[in-house]
Amino acid sequence: MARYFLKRLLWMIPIILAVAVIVFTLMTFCPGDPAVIILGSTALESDLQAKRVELGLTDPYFVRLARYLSDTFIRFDLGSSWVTKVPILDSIKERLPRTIVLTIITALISFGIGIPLGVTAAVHQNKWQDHVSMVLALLGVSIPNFWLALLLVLLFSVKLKWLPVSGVGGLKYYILPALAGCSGAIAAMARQSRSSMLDVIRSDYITTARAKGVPERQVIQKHALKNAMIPIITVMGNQIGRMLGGVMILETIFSIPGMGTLIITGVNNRDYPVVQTGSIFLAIVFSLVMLVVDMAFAAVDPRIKAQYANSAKRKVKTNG
Amino acid sequence: MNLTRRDFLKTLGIGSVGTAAMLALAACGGNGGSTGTNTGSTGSTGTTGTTGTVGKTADDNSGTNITVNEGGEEADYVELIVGVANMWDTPTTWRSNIANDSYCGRLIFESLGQQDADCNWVPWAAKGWTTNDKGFTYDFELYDYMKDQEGTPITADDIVWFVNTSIEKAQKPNWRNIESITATGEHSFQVKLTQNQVGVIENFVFDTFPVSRAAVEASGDDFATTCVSTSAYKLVSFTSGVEMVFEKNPDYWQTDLSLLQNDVVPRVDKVTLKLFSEASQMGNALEAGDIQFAMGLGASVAILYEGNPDFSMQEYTMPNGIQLFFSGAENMPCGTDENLRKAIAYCINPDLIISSVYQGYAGYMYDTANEKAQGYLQKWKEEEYYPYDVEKAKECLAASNYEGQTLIILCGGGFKSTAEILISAMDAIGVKSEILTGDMAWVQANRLDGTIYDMFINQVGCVSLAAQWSIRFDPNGYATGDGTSRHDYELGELLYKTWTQDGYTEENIDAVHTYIKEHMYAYGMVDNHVLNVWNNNVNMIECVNDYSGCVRVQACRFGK
Amino acid sequence: MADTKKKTRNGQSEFAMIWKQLKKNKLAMAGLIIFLLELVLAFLAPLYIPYGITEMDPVAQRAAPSAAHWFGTDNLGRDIFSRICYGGKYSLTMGIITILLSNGVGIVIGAVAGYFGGWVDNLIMRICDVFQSMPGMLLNIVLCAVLGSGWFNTILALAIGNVPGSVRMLRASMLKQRGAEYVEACQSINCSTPRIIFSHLLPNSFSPMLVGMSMGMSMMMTMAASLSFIGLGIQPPIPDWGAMLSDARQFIRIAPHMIIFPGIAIAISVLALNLLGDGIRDAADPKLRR
Repeated sequence: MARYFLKRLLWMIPIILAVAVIVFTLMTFCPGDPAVIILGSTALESDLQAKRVELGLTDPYFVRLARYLSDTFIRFDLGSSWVTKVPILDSIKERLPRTIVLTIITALISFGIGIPLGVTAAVHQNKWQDHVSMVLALLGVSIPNFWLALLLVLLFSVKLKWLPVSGVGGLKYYILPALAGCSGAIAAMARQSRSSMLDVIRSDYITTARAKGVPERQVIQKHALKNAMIPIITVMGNQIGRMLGGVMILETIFSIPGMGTLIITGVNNRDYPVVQTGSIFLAIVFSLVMLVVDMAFAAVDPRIKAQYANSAKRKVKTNG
Repeated sequence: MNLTRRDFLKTLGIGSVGTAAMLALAACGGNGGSTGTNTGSTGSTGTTGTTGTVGKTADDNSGTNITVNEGGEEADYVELIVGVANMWDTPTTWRSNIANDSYCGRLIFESLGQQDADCNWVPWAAKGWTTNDKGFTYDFELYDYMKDQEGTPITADDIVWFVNTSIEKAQKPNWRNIESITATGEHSFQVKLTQNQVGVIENFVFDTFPVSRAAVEASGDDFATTCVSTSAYKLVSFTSGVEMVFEKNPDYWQTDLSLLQNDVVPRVDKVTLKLFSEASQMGNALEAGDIQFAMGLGASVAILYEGNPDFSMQEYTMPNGIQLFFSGAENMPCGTDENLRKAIAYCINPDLIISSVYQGYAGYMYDTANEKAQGYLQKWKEEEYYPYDVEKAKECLAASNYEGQTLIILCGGGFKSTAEILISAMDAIGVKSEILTGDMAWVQANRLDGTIYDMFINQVGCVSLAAQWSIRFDPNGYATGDGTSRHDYELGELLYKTWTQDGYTEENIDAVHTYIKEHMYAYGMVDNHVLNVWNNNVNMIECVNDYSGCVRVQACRFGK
Repeated sequence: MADTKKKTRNGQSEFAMIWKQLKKNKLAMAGLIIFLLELVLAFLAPLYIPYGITEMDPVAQRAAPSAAHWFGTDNLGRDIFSRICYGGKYSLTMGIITILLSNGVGIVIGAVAGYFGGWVDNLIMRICDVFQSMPGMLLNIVLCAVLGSGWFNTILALAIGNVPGSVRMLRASMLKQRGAEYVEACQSINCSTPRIIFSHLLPNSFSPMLVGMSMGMSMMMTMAASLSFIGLGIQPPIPDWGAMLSDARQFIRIAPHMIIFPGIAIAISVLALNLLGDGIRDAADPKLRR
């Protein structure tokens, strides 16, 4: 298990390197001139050219790529934004936590509401609880996040004046963006929880447990839910991954200075170093989330656990 | 540095998509002309001398309605939250594409000089300046007790270093015609210009921020994240793109506040600026009570507060406007066909743009510049400037060589609605057109290529008319040709006459205006107004405006 | 002989079987009918919409819904009902074209990976890993900047971003089939490799692909709308729903109808696609087949 974890962790290194190469290449093909953005549209051509040389934009693609990779991955020098001059590491230190906090809050709300909703629906299959939950889930997955965000602001900030409109401050600033961002995930969680609970509830051992006279509450909580968790965790992982992307849009709508706004502004300003480094960090977070999900998956599924154990044993055997 | 004529031209002024970088620099009014109808704002105390507001040019229902609680007792400690429409992501001094004349900019730094209530350029951080040779050489004097927020004295060497570094970094294109700057004493320096063009020294005094060289170097990142200036307000906390918190500096170097213009006097104790990138967001924040002031609120949101007794509203114009520039490229239909350009100018209905894009908060234009540009002649308003006339448009079209081509309208994101109105207007006279757009960086990079579009919607403003015109129409200015530049040497000769202080006469200015108008090289569509809205619960007892008629929150007095 | 038998059973009959199951699912059929109806309405829009999509009524700007303008008008005085109906042509087909494009490419790559296995498979999957280790939205935003704005460019950006996902999906189901007996049988009678891939493996991997595609369509539609909303993607005068929302945002308080109707249009279409996708998933699930 630990071996597998380590292997996956190491495997992340070439993946992230490749991400860096891809983003770098994409930005290279981006139409637009960073020098014009930095010096303004009335800058002299001679100054623009000097700026391009200073930024290394006139060098061949491979030279720039090699320089960028060695700066970033060998010298660990992330550089500064071309436009704002702010060291990128500082920006990321400041912004990444916000994006992560927002994602975590969104995830907690979605899982906290979605799973119970789905379980309730399964337990009361074909009764009104089931129908209400599933209609809610269908609506939730169909309403675009950004549209919901606008309507939520109108209701909770402008009309009721309960929550701030935008920006960052305390925890309350994250509530509206999280609410807007979680609708789809709640729905996905509810649907998955319902269907995997149904699978489990129909199975023999639950019938046995019931036959033994185990109270229904305990049957659901102790036996059924635990086994139903395996597919639910997979969906959780997918949802967290999707949230990280969705948060980029929500950050723009709510003016949250996180990684999303950093990268989108960077793209608009053709601030290559910001986009490249920002993307790398997002990719690292994303990959780590996926890794943790896989680990959690292995932890709950005895079959997968056994698989790792076996392969480790086998290896020991062959080595011996 | 050897300046070519082309380089010089580019330095004359600035126009940019989306950012009105140089708005501050424009002077009010023309050569002796009045600045439109000055209507006193309701309830203002009148003691500040700048409480007037410039009325609308197109219609009279001025949006300005300010509630001032005259004679109220002044509060001991005032703290305000102000929403602004700029996205400041760094307090660095070294950048070109952000409006220096914004709330953020004016609170972060002081300038050497500024405009007073009558639009004259007067000292602010500098003690004064003089010229003896019609504007080629200026001698500046600094206060010998000027120091920054950390107590470091500011000397002439600091200023010289700041100016030279800015030029080196090419971050201030309008400083290219500064030939040299030298310290002549500990607190005095001399600036030599290559050309005594109107507006050059004004650019210089406004864009020069007194900062200590030692402090900038000590920061390690050119003030990208923190900042030490001479301003009366300290930037105590800064969240990039979200918030800037300013507190009054108790040890402000300028102890004699009577030497300051009224609009830069520090009165409010703490100002929190909240930054907004989108109009409805700032409007929502104002409604929700997250902010008390909304500066530069979009018309689509501000209209909600028209006539609302709980809110004050201020409407004024900045020296720019929304213009349609025709490509000067010879292979494009509009480039060579004067009649086609005239047909397009006639088919545009400014009223439609004013009502649907600016919700009525905009006025007519009579030139590509509006009346706030230095040199603007009031008599142009009496002349005919392509009034909306479909029949005339069709006549011009019939006289043109238009053969059913699809004309390309280049525009940035903010002008999409205007472009759509243009398409439908041209469609009405039988001219096909489509929009060419992209993100800001793409438009910036492509606007200089006149061969890919026929017309370009832009918002530009300049210190003076000479700058506004020259940057686009000088035949020697551009090698490949800015999309809107023209190789018209006749116009060039007219332009060059306006380049010196002696030649900047009504007659010469009028000649250029008429030439551009008659050949329809560019069309001023509408003059959009700026709107400030604030909640009356701030209990304002004195409203202090700057030269443009915009309230300067930190200088106002507030009651308990 | 074995060849033809497999083909019918695994090709046409697979689809027929799903269709048979799907027909029983009322919700899924409702979704399908709503979506088809929307498509028909969108393409016939020029025949019935009461106003031209660029027709501006200067006296009825931002007018609330009324008998003359069912969904009201926008800030330029254009009829929102007409624009939504007409714009459906772009917004609705966007998801379909994106999914078809990305799956078309995905099928070829995934089939190659799945069939050959070994280092080919490894290489392709590692490339997919790289693309999938970035949040999809990030990749789409950068691709949009590279390709520029416009309807087709947005489709292209979304499709490229979606290719790795469809490759992975197809490969997974191909892997399951690769060891099947009939493949060995084909190899033993000297069927050519492409023939095995395209006439045997692919049809057999059809149902998971169909499920993925139907689910992906609604996701692509929302993503396209999100991109238009933040100013990337489709540009006027195309009345794409996401772009309409983006333009309407500043009027949210003075003319809420400008933002409500395009939003509802998106929500209904996504809902219909989701219902259909759920139905197809259930129909394709052998466990649920009776």
